[in-house]
Amino acid sequence: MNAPMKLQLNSDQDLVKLYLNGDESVLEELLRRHKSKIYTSIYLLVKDQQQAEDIFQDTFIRVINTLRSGNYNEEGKFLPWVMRISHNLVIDHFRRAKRAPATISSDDNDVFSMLQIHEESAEDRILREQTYLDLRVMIQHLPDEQKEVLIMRHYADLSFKEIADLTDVSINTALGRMRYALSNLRKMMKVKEVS
Amino acid sequence: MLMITISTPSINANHLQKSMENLTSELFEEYDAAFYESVKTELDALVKNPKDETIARILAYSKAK
Repeated sequence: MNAPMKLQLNSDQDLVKLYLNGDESVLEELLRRHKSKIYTSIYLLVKDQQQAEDIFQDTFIRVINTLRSGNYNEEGKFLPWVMRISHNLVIDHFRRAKRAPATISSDDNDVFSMLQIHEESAEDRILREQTYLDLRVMIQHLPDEQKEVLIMRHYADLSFKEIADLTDVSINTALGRMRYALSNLRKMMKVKEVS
Repeated sequence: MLMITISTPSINANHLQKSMENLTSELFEEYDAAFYESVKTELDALVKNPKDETIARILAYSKAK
């Protein structure tokens, strides 16, 4: 994806306006800008690469349809709006599946395939991979509402106000959930160290 | 006769309780914030991107729409 350099200086709102005026290259830039945040948030919740790909694609199909239909509210920010769409699709996914999220997905090794490895001993590599795997499993063990806030805050880069709006809770509740998430992660890490 | 007045400061229980809660909350926040900073790199390492094919399908859909 090589969106023109000039577009990289534009705000999301400007890009949306350009897109609505027929500039297709703008969508590439919006995707380049936000794909990691949105995809990682989806992936860490559904824990399956193929399902995450499908939800990511469905999210942007809805984005395109809404933009084209003229129903996009320009007063809102683009990323929180897209995150709301993907969040609703993730909820739909779990409703359809009617199951609790699994702890470990079938493609755990994919997490490591993207990491750059430079002159690293086999021992270091195993240790590093184990650390990342441990952290991911720990995140998956968090209660859903805490995991959700942690993922939206860290990976989607949303403010607590935006998270609160998206999850229909107060800012204090969103903040509290983040604190509990961090507190629980810290406890799990301590238990891991002891064991 | 010399009168000596001794006064005992009245403790506002609610105020003290509130101060303690605020103190605990502040310490908790600082402690968690420090922990968050320490695991940010590890959290960042879990970032993933969608496949190029998925992006291509989205762009194709947009063009066809």
